[in-house]
Amino acid sequence: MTAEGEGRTHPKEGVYIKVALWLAAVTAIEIGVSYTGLADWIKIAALLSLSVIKFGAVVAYFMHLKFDHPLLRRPLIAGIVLAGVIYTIVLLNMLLHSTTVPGGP
Amino acid sequence: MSAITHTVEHPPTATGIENPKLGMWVFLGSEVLLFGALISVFLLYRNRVPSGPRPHDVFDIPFTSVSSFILLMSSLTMVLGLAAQQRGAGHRARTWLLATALLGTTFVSGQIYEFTIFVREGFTVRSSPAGSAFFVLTSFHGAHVTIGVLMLLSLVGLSLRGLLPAQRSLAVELVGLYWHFVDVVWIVLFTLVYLIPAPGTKT
Repeated sequence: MTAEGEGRTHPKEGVYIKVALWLAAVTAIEIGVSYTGLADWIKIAALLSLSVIKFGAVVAYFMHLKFDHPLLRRPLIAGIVLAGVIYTIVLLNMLLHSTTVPGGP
Repeated sequence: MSAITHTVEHPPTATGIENPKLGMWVFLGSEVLLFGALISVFLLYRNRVPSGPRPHDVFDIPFTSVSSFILLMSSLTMVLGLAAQQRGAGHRARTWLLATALLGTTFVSGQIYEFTIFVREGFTVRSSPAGSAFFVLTSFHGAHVTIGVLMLLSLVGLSLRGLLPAQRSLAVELVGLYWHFVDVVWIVLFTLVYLIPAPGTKT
């Protein structure tokens, strides 16, 4: 397939404004959750979930990944997966085996 | 969902995707690794404060929330600028791009102000490992926003000189991708660094 003359469909401006309003609402909820007296694990789970929703909305609509060629998703997904795996291993390794972190208690 | 369709002229490629756009996405994928490393370091060190204030002692969540909202809205103005550029509305595109640059500048100014407050309260890049990790992470992000603002102003300059017709909207799209990425990085940072309480921290 050649790219010449490829027609791409992006949303109308009204869709972007609606997404932005949703993002603003989710941000307000996030801040509200951070001030609640919920248990830390509930708070963390809620904040992470809301953050993922915001991340997904910006990437899908504003960065057009929902509408563009599916191949464009791969570099970002690869980066996220690689970062997630590598740094989870590093963090676990350092937390479980290091007793000499500078400034540590 | 209603939609507008537009055609982009560029040389043919095997994938059907413009090479600069694919290149930008690969670059952004590599940026995930960079910020992943910096975030991991912060998470690891955020409780390493032998003396002086801890990060959550000095954070001003309402102030940072406003900054976050400003950066979030800059993504809206950016995408509206791209839409205007793609349909050949140069004047409107310039207005949106300038608005994006202004919002980005406001965000960076807020960050600098926030840093001065932190330093005044004794939370500095040298005060503790937590301070080092925090300032390196957020400064890297601030530097990215600043570079984005410079790219946006360059686009406005090109547009004013008539060098950015609708057929060359790919340049705006690439800067837009970079800008939105900076925004999504902040979405993650805001949650992980500012909102999620560190173990042992009373909120």
